[in-house]
Amino acid sequence: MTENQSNLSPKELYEQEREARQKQKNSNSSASASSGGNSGRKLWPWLLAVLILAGTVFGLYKLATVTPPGAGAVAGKLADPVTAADWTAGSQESPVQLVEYGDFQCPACAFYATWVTQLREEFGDKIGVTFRHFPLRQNHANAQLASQVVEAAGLQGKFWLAADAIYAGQQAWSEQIAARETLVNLIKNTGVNLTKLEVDIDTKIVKDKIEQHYQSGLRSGVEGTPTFYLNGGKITNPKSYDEFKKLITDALSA
Amino acid sequence: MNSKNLSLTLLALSFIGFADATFLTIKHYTGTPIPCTILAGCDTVTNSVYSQIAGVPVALLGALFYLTVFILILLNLQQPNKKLIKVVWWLSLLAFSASLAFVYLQAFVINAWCLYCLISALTSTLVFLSASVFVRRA
Repeated sequence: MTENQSNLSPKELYEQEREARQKQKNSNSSASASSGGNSGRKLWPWLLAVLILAGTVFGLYKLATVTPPGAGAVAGKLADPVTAADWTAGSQESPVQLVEYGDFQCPACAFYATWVTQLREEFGDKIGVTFRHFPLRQNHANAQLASQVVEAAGLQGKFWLAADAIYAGQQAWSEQIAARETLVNLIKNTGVNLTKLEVDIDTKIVKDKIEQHYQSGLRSGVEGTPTFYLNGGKITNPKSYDEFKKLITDALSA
Repeated sequence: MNSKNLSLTLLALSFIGFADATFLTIKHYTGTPIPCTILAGCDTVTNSVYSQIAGVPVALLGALFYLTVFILILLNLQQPNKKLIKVVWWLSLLAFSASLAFVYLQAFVINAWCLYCLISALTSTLVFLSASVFVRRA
């Protein structure tokens, strides 16, 4: 025996030793795995965690992208119906009236403005689309001024052209310290008389009108912008243009 | 507070943070902007140049941070390991510092507040505090 063993080369000896060690290791780990069946008991918290997290992500996705069925109507009534003093595109005689409270410096309003413009073009006189100012002055330093510029352009019959231009150029002026020049430049192409505009921007009539809109928004329960009212009832902001369009067509066929 | 309660607190906090950051991430990639509100400002924040790092929305980084903390704490509950708590602490220090930077940006640079970002700033602060207590106990 001893002779036999000594016949083995050092390399073979090493191999033998390694094999033995490996065997021991294997038997150890299999013993620990079988003792108590820990791995089975430990699985459920993970499954539960994955389920909860996946459910949360799914729910949030739905919450963020899908409006619940029957979209739209939420608690809240328009306190002041549209009048001849309002800025309305389309017809105030139409059975479907959409009223928006908006802030020209609000990015969400600029986003929705493209959809509202599309609605105006698509439905024409079949509906009335009214815009009321709701400048969030405490957050948006230039919102009030932007409203004054658009309102002043309105005195020359260019309200919607000016509103669209101011929204489209929002990024250029919203963070400026002195935004007046940029704002006026943006509406140059609408064909307004600039001399008259510069005077009108600061008039009491213009400022009062914006304040009246703001106050009527507060009376209607506006908490943020944009807020839309369809036939006098507050609606949640639609998540897509098609959804918006469907609300209008449904109201038209009602 | 014993280590089990600390773990549960951290699980709850990271879950809230994860839900909050995930919501912002989904909003970033899909759908319509969050309206501006009288009290909390608006999308100025989540639309600002500071909302992304090299094209990756910071909200997504936040969601991954909270998810990592959640998983590490769950691992630690099953098999207590000081190293895991250390990792959580370092991560939470990073997230807490980032939150401080974002609150600073909102207050002094962007001049607008984002409610969901503030919720995340709060949860990351609480995660950091809990992790700091935890790392001393472990």
